[in-house]
Amino acid sequence: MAALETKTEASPESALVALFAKVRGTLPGASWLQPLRAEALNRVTRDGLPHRRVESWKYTDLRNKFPSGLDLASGGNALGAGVFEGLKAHRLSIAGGEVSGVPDDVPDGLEVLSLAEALAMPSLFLRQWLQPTADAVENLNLAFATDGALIRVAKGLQVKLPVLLHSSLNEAAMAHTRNVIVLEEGAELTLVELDDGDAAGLASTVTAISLEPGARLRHLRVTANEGASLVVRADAIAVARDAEYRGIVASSGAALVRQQATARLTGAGAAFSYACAYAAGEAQHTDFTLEVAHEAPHTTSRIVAKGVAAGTGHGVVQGRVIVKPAAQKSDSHQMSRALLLTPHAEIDQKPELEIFADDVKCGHGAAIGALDTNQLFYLRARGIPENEARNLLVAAFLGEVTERLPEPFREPVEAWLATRMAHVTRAAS
Amino acid sequence: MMLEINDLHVTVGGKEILKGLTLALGEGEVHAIMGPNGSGKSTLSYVLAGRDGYEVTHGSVTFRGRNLLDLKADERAAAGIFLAMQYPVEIPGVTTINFLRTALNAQLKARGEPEIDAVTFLKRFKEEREKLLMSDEMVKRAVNVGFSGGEKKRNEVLQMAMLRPRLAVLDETDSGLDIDALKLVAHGVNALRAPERSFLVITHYQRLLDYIVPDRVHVLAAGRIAKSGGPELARELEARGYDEIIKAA
Repeated sequence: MAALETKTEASPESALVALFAKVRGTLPGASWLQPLRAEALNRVTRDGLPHRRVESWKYTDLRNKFPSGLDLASGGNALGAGVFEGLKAHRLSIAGGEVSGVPDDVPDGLEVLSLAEALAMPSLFLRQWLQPTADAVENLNLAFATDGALIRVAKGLQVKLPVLLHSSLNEAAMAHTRNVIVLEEGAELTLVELDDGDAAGLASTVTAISLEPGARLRHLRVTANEGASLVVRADAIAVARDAEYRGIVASSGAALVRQQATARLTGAGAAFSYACAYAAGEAQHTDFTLEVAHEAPHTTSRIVAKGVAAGTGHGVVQGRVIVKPAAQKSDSHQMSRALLLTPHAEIDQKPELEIFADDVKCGHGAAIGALDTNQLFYLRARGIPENEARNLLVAAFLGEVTERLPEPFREPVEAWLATRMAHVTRAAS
Repeated sequence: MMLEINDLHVTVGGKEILKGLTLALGEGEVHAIMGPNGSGKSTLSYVLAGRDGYEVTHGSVTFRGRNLLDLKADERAAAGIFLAMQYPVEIPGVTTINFLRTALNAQLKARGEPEIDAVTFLKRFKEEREKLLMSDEMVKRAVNVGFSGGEKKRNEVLQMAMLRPRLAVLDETDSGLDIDALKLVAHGVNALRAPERSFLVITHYQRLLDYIVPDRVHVLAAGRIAKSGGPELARELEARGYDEIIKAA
């Protein structure tokens, strides 16, 4: 026993408990939220931070990479407008875990608020999205969440301008933010998220998305964090009858990015699509873990992942589709393709299907390859230098995802990705 | 002199394919290389274009006074070498127009010349593609994706017309073409004939040479030039077959 005790160092979980004791009095929320936070943290310490022996974390060891001893971020201001400089949108900035500006020009029926401010009011309706769950990332986030965006689109409203959430973390600290997005019946919205910052911190965001019958959300995200940043994102999406969720994500630059999306298609005719493009260069790890549950008949889901890895870069795509007994006539397809630009880069793709209904259409495909030498030679024989030729081919490969981006977002995202690719392919030359 | 190849030996995957090939091509000249399958025709085209995996074990290739073998594939293109490929490659996700503009600007940059502006480029591009009866829709598609064999070959000639090389190597550009497409492609090539531009036309059949009339014809057999002559040699080959000509040489 004595030997065991001397071996025990401060675990990341116990550091979190100590931090919670220190900051809990400063965290926002009415009295009902505090016990939920405590329970969420209990679950984190009980289960431990996720590591590779947990099936859904098989390729990403968060516990090992977890930056122990960080304090909570201290707010501050976002630095510039980043990738989407100059684009017209209803902008909300979150810096260091704190909302630093809400848009004041929103149309009637659209609410864009700071979650911390909403929690200061007796807004019990938020309670349903602030519950401990079985997910470690969500629980950790709930325990420490300081702020976030609350977006609500009223019944039938089609919001013309996109809402842009810009989250920055520029200090070596933890920022936990939580967003709640509700589209009421028949409402339509384009939500654009930009994450950036280059500090050796942890940026964790959990987003609850509820699409009521017939609502349509187009959800674009650029994960542009750089350097030693750790980014953890979890989206919990509920899609009701005839509602549609379309997600498009581009991610490149940070040391570790984990993006989870868990979708429940709860009403007949609900549709979900998710397209992601990623580029993992030297010392970069990017993980997409997606789960779609078809719970109602005539629901559809599509997942497309395209990525490249070079140097010691590591890409992970896990897609799990569950078709419940009630979900007859469901239609699901997932495809993940990746390019390995150098021999030591790593890509792991794990599609899973769990089908409990008998009249469904489900497919999946996965492929990993290298750049085509015939294509590379063809471009070079026309005078395009090797590095440029490689970048062109990679951009074309990722194009299957980026071409889905609507204007005016496509061009800046592709330009941003091109600069990131130049960095990633340097490891390949 | 445009191109001088002297006693060239090339191995591919450890096997010697070219075994002492010697050839001289003057400025503005059109030479045809004919030969049976496996004689080394495509190897010659790839080794000139600078493809990886083609190892020169002996001999020299001089292009306009420069040692061509010192240059990488893209540097050769910028120096003025163009290879119209036997099997043009499909490049999903890259449109023909974007590809060509990138290529042209890369070549101009490598030569220290200013990039072409978009308006001039589009004007020239439209002229050239109309000459080849290629639709606007076609060049806005990804390079060669969904193109028929004939369309791919026309696309090669379009690229050649836009890039204006000093030496164009046409590797079996006639293969897979019907007679109308063949005439169109030949017309495109003839329009580019100029005192400062030379062509090496590699073909299996004499048919193409009815439309692109060469100054010289060389018969390639077993990795070296077995016989050279004027345009009449092509017809002789067609009439008597490779075997007889090669044996007699």
